[in-house]
Amino acid sequence: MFNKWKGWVILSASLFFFGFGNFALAHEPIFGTGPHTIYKDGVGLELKYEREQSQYGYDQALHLHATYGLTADWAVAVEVPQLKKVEENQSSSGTGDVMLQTKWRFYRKDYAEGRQDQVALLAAVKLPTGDTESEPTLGSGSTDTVAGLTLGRESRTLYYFADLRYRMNGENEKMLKKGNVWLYGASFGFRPWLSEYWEPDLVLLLELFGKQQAKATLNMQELENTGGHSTFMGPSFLWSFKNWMVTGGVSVPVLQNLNGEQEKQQYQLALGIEQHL
Amino acid sequence: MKTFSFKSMYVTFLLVFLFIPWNGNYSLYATETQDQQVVVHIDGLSCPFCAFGVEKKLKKLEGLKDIKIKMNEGQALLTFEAGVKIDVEAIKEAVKESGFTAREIVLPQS
Repeated sequence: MFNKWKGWVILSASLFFFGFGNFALAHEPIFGTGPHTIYKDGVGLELKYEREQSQYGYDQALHLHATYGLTADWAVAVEVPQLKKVEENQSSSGTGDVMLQTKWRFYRKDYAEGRQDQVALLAAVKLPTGDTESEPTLGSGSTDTVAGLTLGRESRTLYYFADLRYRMNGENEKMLKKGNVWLYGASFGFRPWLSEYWEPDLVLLLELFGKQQAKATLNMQELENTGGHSTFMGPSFLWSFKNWMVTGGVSVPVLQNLNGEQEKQQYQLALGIEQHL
Repeated sequence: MKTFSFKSMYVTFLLVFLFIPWNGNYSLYATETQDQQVVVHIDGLSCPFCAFGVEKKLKKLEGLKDIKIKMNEGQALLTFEAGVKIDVEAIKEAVKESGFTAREIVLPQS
């Protein structure tokens, strides 16, 4: 019995940002999110590699993310992750939990000097499509929902972003319910040099983000070694040329106040390539 | 009286075939044989990656031959084929669908 739910607890404790509804488009934080949408009838395809290194193992994921612009201010997306998890002497790999996302930019003000202020609501549903029998497990086995607010100010030279999201985790068939999560983020970015449309463009960001997670429950009983507060910080870059963008970043923990005894995170790495069609 | 009338008709004939048609040809030349340049001032255009959507939407405009986006000026320079009627509302809508605002559209001088 212990082994059956051990994987769930480890998953709850170790997975930090995979599947938290990071619906980032264009010039936005790569560890968090922002209010960007895509032009009407536009299609965005992104392939993103993420790695989370912890004390005794690592998780890595290759996310395929497809976005469609219903309007210029309303986008829908689907994210399909391919996961590989290594924990001590066991590993598993395969498709993780598929996530459906939507973002509605309800406020946008454009300025003559190339500045844009935006605020958006976002929502996501994570479906229990990942394998729950493998060790470590690839899926949570529960249907989870995410709702949040994100805002940003962009200009030709400076970028500011902030987001606050709440994730409600469902209970899986083994009566395990991961704790609900508050996610937050704030980022600052700048463009080192101005570029024209047909020139390569670079934006550098410094991202601060974290989560406050409640304890998980099994059969309605709280699990001591779960939940807590973590904050990460790190630099990231966004390099684009016409309709192609390459992103990357690394972040390290600046605060890990975890409940009980839990494996601590060491760093997170993200690399992505995105194309708008 | 008859002679005067004939002269008047002759002068009128000359005017019609020499002067008025020439002005008419000049006007047609301006609108039907020369490309038309339109400048669209776009607000909120901060990054080249986002400008791709602007270009894609504007490219669908009828009669558009060429488009140049100038990021630092926040402008899209549109070249329309000669003789094409320029639809200002369609330009505004295209910019709106790309997620920005067309603040001002400067049409070619006729």
